[in-house]
Amino acid sequence: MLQMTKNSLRLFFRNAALVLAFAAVLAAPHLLMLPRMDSLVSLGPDQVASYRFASLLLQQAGLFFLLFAFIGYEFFSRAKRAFLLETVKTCPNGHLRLLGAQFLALELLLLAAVVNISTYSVFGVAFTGSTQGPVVANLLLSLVLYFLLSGTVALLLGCVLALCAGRMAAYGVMVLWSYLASDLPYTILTSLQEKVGPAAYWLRDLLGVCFAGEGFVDPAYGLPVEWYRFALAFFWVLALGAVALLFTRPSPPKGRRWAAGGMAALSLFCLTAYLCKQGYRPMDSRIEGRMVDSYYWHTDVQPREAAADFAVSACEMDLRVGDGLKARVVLDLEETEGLAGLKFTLYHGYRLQAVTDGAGNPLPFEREGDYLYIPQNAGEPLSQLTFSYGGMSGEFYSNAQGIHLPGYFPYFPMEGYHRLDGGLSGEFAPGAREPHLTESRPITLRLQTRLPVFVSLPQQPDGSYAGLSTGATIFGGQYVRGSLGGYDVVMPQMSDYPLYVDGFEEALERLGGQLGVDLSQKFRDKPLFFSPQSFTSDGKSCYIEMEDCYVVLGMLAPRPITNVIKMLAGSNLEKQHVAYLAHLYLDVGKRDDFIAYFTGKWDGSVPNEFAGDLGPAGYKEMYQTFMDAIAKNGEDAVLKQVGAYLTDDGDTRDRYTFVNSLME
Amino acid sequence: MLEMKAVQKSFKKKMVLKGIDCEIGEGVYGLLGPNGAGKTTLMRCVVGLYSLQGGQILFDGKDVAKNGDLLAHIGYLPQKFGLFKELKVYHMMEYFATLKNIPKEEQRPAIEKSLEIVNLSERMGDRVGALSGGMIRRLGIAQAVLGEPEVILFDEPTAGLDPEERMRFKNIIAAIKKGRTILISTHIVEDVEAVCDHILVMDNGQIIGAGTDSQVRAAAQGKVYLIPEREKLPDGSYIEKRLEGEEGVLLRILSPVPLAGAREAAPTVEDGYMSMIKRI
Repeated sequence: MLQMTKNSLRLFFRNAALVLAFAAVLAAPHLLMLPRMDSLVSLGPDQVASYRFASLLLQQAGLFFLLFAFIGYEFFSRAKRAFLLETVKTCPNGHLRLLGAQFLALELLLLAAVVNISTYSVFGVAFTGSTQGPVVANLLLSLVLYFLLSGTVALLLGCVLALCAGRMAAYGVMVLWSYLASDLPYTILTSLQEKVGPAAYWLRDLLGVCFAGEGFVDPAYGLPVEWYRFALAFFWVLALGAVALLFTRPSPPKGRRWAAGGMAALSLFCLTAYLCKQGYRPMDSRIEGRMVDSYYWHTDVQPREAAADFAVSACEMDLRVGDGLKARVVLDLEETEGLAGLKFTLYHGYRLQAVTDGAGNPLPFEREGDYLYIPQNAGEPLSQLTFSYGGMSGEFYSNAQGIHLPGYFPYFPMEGYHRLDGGLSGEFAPGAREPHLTESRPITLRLQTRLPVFVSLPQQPDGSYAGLSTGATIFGGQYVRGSLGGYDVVMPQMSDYPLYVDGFEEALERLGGQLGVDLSQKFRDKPLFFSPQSFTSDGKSCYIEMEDCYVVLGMLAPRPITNVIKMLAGSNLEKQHVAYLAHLYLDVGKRDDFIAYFTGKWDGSVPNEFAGDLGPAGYKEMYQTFMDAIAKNGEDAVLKQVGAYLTDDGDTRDRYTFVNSLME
Repeated sequence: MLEMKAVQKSFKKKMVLKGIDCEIGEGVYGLLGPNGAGKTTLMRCVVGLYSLQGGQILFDGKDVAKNGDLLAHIGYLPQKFGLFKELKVYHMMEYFATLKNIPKEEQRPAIEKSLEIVNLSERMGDRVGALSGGMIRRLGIAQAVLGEPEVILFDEPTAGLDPEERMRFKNIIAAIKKGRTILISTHIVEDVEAVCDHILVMDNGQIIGAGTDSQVRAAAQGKVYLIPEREKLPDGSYIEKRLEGEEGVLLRILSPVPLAGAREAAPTVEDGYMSMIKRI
């Protein structure tokens, strides 16, 4: 076999077309990366994560797959076109051994191509110094999954097509496969999903061995290498291998039929495993339960805001994180007498299996999107509810590769109805990604996961986590805890940007002076959990203050420090609007436009940053009143009133009443 | 010894082999028949390329279909034979040697011996693509004899070859036939006449005649006549050739009935073959 493999390599390298195709495979990553290297390297090792190099290369995985499918088809069909098969097939297992030798030769070339690609990943690791075991393992696994395994599937596809199909049909299949397995049909699939549901993606899911997903890149999650993606790759390897085994002989002997049958059975097992778990892929921009924003864009469920008429006095959570999240949450309730039903918010991505009362009796419930309603029998007020649910939710992922569950996110049932999307002005506007609950309660969390985790609640001797909070923040995976700029932080091991920029504290102090608020203890009194995801529409940082921690989306940077203002408003929606208004006025990037517009000096259409607020949101009058008050009473006085309003829990005025009062 | 017992082969509804019974022992056998008789199909059934719908093919008493390792004893040169043009002759032969399970240390001597038989030793280092059609056919013979198989099958080995190459082929057969069973399928009677000890005549999926060349000739004894062209032909006769000579144009015919006054000719193997094919 080694001799035949050597001769197969000789045969390969004496064919100009095949050599050209292989040269294209080797050249492609360099053509992609070399023009970008200057810009990446010039950022410096602190401002580029090692995964960035690999994630850029992942964009080429589809081309890699297609080229190897072509190479495989052309090489495996050479014997047929050279009229060699009739001779070869008369030798014992002749055709199978010939194909096997050719396959081995191509696998060696595939390995060489993967090593060629991996040079950039190696460079990325060396350049950034990210040599931590989990980081390197993640990069290696991504190379194995998206290049080596998918390349093997491509070669086997080429082999089967060479055995069974003519050239035109084979080329058609390869091109169609590569197209469906890429992000090219994304728009079509999204439209289809609106009509037929998740089935629209199933074919692409099955074919997408080389496709990581069209969604976001999260350095704490790393490149997506969940075990069920390997199951999919092995499904194809075994299934195609079984077909090749059978088709190399017109009447395969019993032994070969048994081997092919065994491979087919194993492949079905892998497929079943994949289909059961593929619902937990976080790296896909799909509507139902996947990317947050795409769901809210397409859903028919209207957003709701309604305060709970009852209180939660204690919360006990048993969470098990495996391929997804399995949760059992027990809430102790107060003030439920006389209520027709209880309102909760639980993110729509979780499937609620059961709700039971304190005695374990199952209760009916109504679920629509994020909103959950539990009817209550008259005269039988509920004092305890147990929720059993499971799943995973897009960028708020929880699986064997990573956990990103900030405490403000309803991964557990939150009392009341809360709007979870960004509303008209996107994710930075009031209503998006901030604490929805106002009252802390004792929370006990028991967490089972294989990942290293960081929880905002203190850990107890028995391994559980317990403390007072409105919601426990849980980050797991490629995180590290340490000191950053003097702050106690939990941060991703890799980042595309520095998480702390000099000048932050000075800027914070200046802002405090402008608002008349002491901000010196902000960010020092609790640990900071740096989310690896930055979802602000303008890419700037966002700070969310919880009872037990801060969640930072982005970095601690002096610009724009005005994002801190939103934090002062807490969960008060009225105050959030005022905080946003102050942010628009003070933010260096928006201030000039804002002032120009409301002082009649703006020439042109409304600036994008607040277009939605002035139009459909109807805040134009409020904003104009604010500016008029500044003109009348001076910026300093107005801002100090804003600072007092935001930080005074006893001030319950709505936004309009407060802004109008600025004119006095 | 190759035995075929009631061998049947069909493609969809068309029965191509309708029950072939014969035994082939040591020596050179010619399988003679017109196009579409089923010769190639029979060859492919023997080497396991086709599965049978009925009957058995036995090699030394063992069913070839159930014992794939028996194929190591059979060499085969198909009608359409090709090679990887990019490889050198030696490396191409290495492929075949490995497929025939010749141990690595024995491959070189075996390859050299095969190439010597077909007079291609000097071309061992040349690319296959540089060889002429006749040389490629000789290389096909070399791979068929590689590993010293006991049975060698040649399917239309001389088709498309010039007279010189055909002569070479006959010499090669003469050189390798000792101690072997060789089956040559062809529709060229001269090739069969020159090299074969036994002839099997095949038509329409059946063996319709078998024997030595003298036995095949005997099938046309008393049926071959030379008659002037203008004479009326008896019913059921068959014109084999048109000859021009000093006496004018003569027709060599096969007649089912004796022709009084006509000149009888000594039958050839071709006459016997045509007599069987035309059922005269």
